[in-house]
Amino acid sequence: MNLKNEKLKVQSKILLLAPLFILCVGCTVTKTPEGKSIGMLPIKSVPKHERYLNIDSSASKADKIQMYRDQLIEKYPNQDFTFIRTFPYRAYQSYDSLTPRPYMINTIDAHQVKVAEFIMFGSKNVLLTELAQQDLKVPVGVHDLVIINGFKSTSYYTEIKNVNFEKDKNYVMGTDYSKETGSRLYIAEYEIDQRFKANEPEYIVIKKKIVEGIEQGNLKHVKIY
Amino acid sequence: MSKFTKSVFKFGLLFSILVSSGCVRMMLPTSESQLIQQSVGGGYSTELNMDYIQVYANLKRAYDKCVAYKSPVPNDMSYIAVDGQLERDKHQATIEAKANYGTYVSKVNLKEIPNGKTLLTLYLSKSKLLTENKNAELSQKRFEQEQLRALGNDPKCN
Repeated sequence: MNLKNEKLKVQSKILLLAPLFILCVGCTVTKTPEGKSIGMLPIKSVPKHERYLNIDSSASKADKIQMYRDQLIEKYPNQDFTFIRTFPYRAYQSYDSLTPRPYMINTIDAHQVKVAEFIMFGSKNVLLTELAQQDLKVPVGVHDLVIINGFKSTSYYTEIKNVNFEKDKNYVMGTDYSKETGSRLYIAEYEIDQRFKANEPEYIVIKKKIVEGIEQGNLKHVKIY
Repeated sequence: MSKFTKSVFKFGLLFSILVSSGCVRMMLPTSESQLIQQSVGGGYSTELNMDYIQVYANLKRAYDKCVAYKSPVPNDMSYIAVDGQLERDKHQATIEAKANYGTYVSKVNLKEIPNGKTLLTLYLSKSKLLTENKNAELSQKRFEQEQLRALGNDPKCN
């Protein structure tokens, strides 16, 4: 009888611990939209002061957006600037926990592009989805970019080298999707269609893609924040 | 509990199970082609004296304001979702209204025709609980409303 009880105890322990083990091991690997498995380790985050804009707590939403838009001006003195934003996909227009992280420039020539920190219970928070759809001032000329996007705690980093931003042109980041290739990132010149609202996809009329066909998540470092 | 109450309760239970398990899909169109095939009068068409992109913008705004719906009642998942697609390269656009269980409520096709005009075609799903005449009457009313909204003349929705 005792032997039977011991056996049951061991079996129940295995039953309880096995899923936990699988969960722990499984969680270190994630899949890119193309279905490739990539390691999520090392779990390391950029220091807070490098990730977030140094904003006074009394700053309004408009001030925060302005700081985000103009942050690269001091990094590139005496330069001409142009603008880049993310394509206003419908998924980015809701502000709940299921909203994916939009395409944003993470670094430009290794300079971190900072965002406004989310303050719990704060009334003046500017969400990433809102910031991403703002025109970020980027210096004219050839630059190396790392673009970030993702969902929940998983982020994909996509490196695009030698992107040539020209003066007096506006740029947008987005993806083309096909069953064969999955999501492929592009950067394109665009014009606006005033008949639509700025948060509608039809507002952006793509004119010329300056970069396209970039595999999403080609930089295999995934960090968990 | 009386026999009658019991049978009503049983019927109610059975009905709610059937509805929640998606039997609605058996009654309503579940694809674009089904909607077009089964639509009232085979669809209504008209020519509008306006650019197709402007018509699309007007209709999209009206659909977002007056057609899209999400039940405010907690745990009631009923909704009507609006999905618009503008294809500038093909000079056409579509707006679809879809409801629960992947069923189609309506579809409007917009196509550019010469002289800056637009051909609007509206497909509406038939209500199985109404007669043919009543379906036609309601659809005609909705078509007139659609034209008004397409031209941006519906003060409530545009």
